[in-house]
Amino acid sequence: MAIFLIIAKPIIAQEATNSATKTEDIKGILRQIVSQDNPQSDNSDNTGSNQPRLPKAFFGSITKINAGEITLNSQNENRLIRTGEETTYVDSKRRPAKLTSFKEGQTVLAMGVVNTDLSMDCSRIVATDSQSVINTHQIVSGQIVDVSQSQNSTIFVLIPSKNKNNQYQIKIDSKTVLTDAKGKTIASAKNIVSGKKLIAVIKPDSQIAQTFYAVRLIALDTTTISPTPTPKP
Amino acid sequence: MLLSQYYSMIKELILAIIIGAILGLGVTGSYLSYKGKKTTPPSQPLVTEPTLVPTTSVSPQPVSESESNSNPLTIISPTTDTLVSSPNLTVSGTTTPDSQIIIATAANIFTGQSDTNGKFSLPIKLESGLNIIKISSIDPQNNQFDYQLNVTYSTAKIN
Repeated sequence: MAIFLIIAKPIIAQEATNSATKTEDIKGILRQIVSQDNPQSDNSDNTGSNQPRLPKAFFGSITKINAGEITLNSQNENRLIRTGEETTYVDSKRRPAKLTSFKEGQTVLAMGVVNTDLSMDCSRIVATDSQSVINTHQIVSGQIVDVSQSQNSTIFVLIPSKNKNNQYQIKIDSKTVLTDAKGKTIASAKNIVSGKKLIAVIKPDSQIAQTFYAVRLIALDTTTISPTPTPKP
Repeated sequence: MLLSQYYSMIKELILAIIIGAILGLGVTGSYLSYKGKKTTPPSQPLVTEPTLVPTTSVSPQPVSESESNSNPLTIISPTTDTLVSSPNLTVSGTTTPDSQIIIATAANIFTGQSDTNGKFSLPIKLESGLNIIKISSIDPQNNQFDYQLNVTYSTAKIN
């Protein structure tokens, strides 16, 4: 029995050592993965945004305000904005303001220079409503599948080449600019027909729901006049 | 006589105990060795287990659809979040050859074409403040690639 007891002890100790080693191995791998995935640990930045003292402007919503610094969520990234005595503040009505005038959740445009640690030394913070800067233009390339005419406008249906399950109802009027691929203005009558491929720069129509207004159209396969065949003698 | 028989029995008993112990050790050792092999995780789980780590806690790089690997449309200048003091800006980049280039700001549309090497350079005009610039290239096969960047035009003094 004594022999069994003596032998059993090292076996238990060995299992514990194996378990501890295994845990350490997993921890080491986890540390490696976290350090690989953490962009902060990598000084290189292929966007070039970490170059020293670059004038930049970050638009985003304030997530935190402390004395001398603001944290801004800009394009899903938290930016540290350092403010100082020289920082000027402008409210949404373009009036001079103070840092205390700003609140968390408010959208602002912060202008300044970016340091190597990606923080910004801010010169100017302007309260900016996100709706006021939105670009409603959409660029869609596709094929016309249906055209309907009315007194003042033409409405056609475009199936985009990117997603053929989708379709756009697009209105054009006399203000819509239609050009060929080389930028030459062309007539719409021959080029807004079913089967034609074009690029449309559109924005939501303010008058008709689910309809877009075409600001610019570029016909990709313009109608060309075929040469008259010379009669053979 | 009795004493010699007694010693002989003791010897046999000790021998039996030793043989039993050896056999017992052998069997126990084999069993533990087998169990150890069975329970020791192979190297594979060590690699797969960390995938359970919530890597989402690391804030992702702001990847627009423009920056996916399959997108040939690359903007060389300007970079996003650039601050300029002039309304006149040239957007340059590369894409597929002979493609239509469309640049849309909130107020204006600018068009051009890439050359046979896919390079393009287009002058545009900015509005005061933040400009969200949408750039698309459409190749002769009607494949569309998009890019978006923010450029701010301000004449305010930046230290």
